[in-house]
Amino acid sequence: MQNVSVARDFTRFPSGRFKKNGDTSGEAFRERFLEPALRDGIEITVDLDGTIGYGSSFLEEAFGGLVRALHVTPDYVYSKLCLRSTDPALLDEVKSYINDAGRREN
Amino acid sequence: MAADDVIKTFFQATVIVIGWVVVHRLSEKRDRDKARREMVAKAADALRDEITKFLSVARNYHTSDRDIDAEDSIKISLQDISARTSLLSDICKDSAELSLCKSAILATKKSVTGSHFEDEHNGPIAQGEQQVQLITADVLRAKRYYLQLKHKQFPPSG
Repeated sequence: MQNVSVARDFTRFPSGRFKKNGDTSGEAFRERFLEPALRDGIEITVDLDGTIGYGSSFLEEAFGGLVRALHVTPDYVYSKLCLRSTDPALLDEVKSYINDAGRREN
Repeated sequence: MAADDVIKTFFQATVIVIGWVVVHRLSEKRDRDKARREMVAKAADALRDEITKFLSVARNYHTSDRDIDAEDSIKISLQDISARTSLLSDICKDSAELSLCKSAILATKKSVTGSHFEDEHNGPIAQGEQQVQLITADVLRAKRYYLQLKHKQFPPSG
């Protein structure tokens, strides 16, 4: 089990979708933390609290992009990924991106 | 005083005390519920005002050159509005109305920050572009749902 805090281990200022435009992007976060864990079948807990806030493009690319990049189902993502936040709306938002990406992949 | 009179007096006193306690409790419950409803209505008003101000910030961001300070301000505002809306569930019984507010705020966040935001902002877009219209529509919907939530606190009597 791996524990990642976006604010502590990545940045307090997550921004942008693609890593070509910045190393605090959703794509950079996905490639650095999420993809390696899920590729190796390791369970990972991601704490979303403590940042200045998230744009939808960051969250969609980080979490929805996981389904696209690894060609996995949302169910597989949920079996390995545990999300934590004191804001339930943020958790719902991330889940919507994972589910939407799953629907588009099929 | 006869024993019967003592028992009668005691019984009457007991009934009076129990009656007072019941009325006091009911009145306390009514006052608390009134305060709760007023608090929800006030919060709904404040959130309506904030989302109204937010609309011009969001429209201005997308229709002007990229402004990194505005991006932080937009993310902070959205996080604050979303968290305050979610926290209303602690004191709000009208879950259907509150759910509509939450989903409207999420839709607003997606339309404002889902594309043409941060690294994807590659120059201003026109006021008439679909994204700007979508942002306006989502904010107006959120405002309407906050108003419904407020009105729900004071339904017409009868």
